Amino acid sequence: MKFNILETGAFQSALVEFEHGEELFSESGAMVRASGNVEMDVSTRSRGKSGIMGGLKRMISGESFFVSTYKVGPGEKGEVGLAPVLPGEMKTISLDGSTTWVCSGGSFIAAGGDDVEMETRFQGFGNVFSGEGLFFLELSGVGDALVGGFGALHEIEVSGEFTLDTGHLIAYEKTLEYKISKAASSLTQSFLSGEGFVMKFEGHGKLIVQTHDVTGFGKRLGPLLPERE
Amino acid sequence: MKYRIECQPGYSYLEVELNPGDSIASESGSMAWMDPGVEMETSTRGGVFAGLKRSFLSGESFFQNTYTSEEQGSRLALAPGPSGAIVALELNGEEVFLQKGAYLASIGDIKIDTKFDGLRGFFNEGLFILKCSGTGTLFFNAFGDIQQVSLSGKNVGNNADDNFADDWEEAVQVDGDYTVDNGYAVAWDPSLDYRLTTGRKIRSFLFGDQIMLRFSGEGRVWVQSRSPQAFASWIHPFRRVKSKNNN
Amino acid sequence: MEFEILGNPDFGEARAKLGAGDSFHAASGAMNWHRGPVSFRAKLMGGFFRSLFRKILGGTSMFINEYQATGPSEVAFSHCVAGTLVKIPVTSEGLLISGGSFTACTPGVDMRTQFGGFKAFFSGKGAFFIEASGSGDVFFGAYGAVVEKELDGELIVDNGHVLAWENTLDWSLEGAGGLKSTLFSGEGLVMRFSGRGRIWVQTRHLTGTAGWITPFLRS
Repeated sequence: MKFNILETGAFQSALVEFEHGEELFSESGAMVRASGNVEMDVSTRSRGKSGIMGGLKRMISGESFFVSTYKVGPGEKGEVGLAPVLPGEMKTISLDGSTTWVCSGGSFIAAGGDDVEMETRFQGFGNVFSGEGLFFLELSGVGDALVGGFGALHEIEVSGEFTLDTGHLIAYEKTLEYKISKAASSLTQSFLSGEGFVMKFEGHGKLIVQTHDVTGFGKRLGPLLPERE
Repeated sequence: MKYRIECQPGYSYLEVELNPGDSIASESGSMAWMDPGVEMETSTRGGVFAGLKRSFLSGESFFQNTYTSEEQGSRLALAPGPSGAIVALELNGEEVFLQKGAYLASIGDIKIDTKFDGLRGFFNEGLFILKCSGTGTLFFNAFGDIQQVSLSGKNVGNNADDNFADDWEEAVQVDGDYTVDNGYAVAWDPSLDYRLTTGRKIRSFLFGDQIMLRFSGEGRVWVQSRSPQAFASWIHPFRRVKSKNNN
Repeated sequence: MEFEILGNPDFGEARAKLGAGDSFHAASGAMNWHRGPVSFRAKLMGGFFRSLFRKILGGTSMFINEYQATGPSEVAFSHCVAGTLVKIPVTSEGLLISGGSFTACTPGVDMRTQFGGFKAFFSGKGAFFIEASGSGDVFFGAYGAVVEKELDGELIVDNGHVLAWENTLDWSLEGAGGLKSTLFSGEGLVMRFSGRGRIWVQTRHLTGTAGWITPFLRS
């Protein structure tokens, strides 16, 4: 299975090539195109152990999370084109069996390979303020995963501590731990500063961040649109 | 008339230079900046009802603006709504279908019609397309990058090996059919045949955002790298909620 | 204190490297991440509306954050909408920046808010501009790419596309081409600039994006 990120600047997209026997799965809304021989199945279950999300859990971003799985018949090769929703870059994460990556719900695009497991982890009410969405996805096993975001994506090596504004997280290695805390010294300060809450990471591991905050953009554009029911 | 497309492909805009006698029509709301000599006239091209039909069904604004100038070399910059690229397409008595919201401007004698395609849709979304025809230059915009895919018309069955190289190329050629999710097809030649399909085994209780267009035959289709429908779903929760009481 | 801007023209992000005692100001919500001993405090921006409202339609809030480092640290910040991030040294005549675009500035830059008048209020872009004077650098973020124009004469710019301009220019706010045109043309308000000086315009505006996506929205 090959994951290719097409170099298109602000609007990266990905092309996945795979053959019979390999299984690829993606967030259903991410599919741009597929070669005619690809069989697609859409389900509400996430692949992997605990799995059942009920399919109707809506993330704060409003997208329901459906997973599409793609297969081709014996002796065949197929292609699937994938893209994120917003302008932005994509990144491939290599899963080599030794580490687990935790990916924010809205950033996940696709995963596949020899044996990739995906588990959803409900973030819990205490973390609802983080703006990341109600759940994270844990990816482990052997294979590759694709994430996409709003803005440029940067991989950061953390060793010690690192403070990330909520809304900028794409994914992190599970060797890192984080706490949600107020951005500034007091609650009032946090509110006035507009920074709200931050994720304070500790430990050693890699972090993938995005340069722009989807919530900030949504809040600017949303009020300009017609009202909804 | 001279024109330039700048800042491709991410945040492109169209700049034209108008001399006396020149004119350009554009989607209203797209004027970004202009020299003081440029005159703007608002009209409903094709009459009131044509304008109404066009705006109501296809999401184009009711009014389109025509720009002229009495002075030499007046510059006008037009910018699209979404982030993305602009394509300048020369039409020579030809027609092209265009996704709603993608029309930016046109020079020359180009007519814009609506073509209601909802009957061929499985789900209720319908496909609102504009039909642009005539002779002149048509400017349309994309959400994201744009790629021109030329279908050769060869019949190769189901095992089409698409020529998508590792790099993004502005124009590619493919043999056989070409299936793309509805939101990503911006424009295509009427010579192409198309069918609306959904994925092979969609469970029926899922609402179908996943409408796909399967193109076949010979012709060009322009594909953008982001989907307006997906973006609309994403922005939905940020919209203000209608208040129930209207006192 | 050093600033590096990465990611232009698509997704501009500035990274500040600070040492003990360094400080700078950034708009609320602009911070992406930080590491090292740095903290921040919200402060009121100086100007006409000091004590009035907190947040203005679509614009930066009246508060800006002062970042202070007590040791080697790094802060990354960007504008909230995607586009180019511009860094300009403030000139002696001063720079006027559209309210919602201001992102950050170095100490020594004096920031005051200016009210654009009631017409600006209805434009949806925010009712105020920020006047930056003094010395130092100011950062502002565009929605889209930035075109810098050296003006010697007159230019009409759609209000939503105005990013910043030098205070040497005269400007007025008007409807595009008369009342009927304003209401029906969809062009809204425009700013007419005249004189000599630089103007920065952005190639996208939120109202245009809103208009484009509206037909795709479900009710």
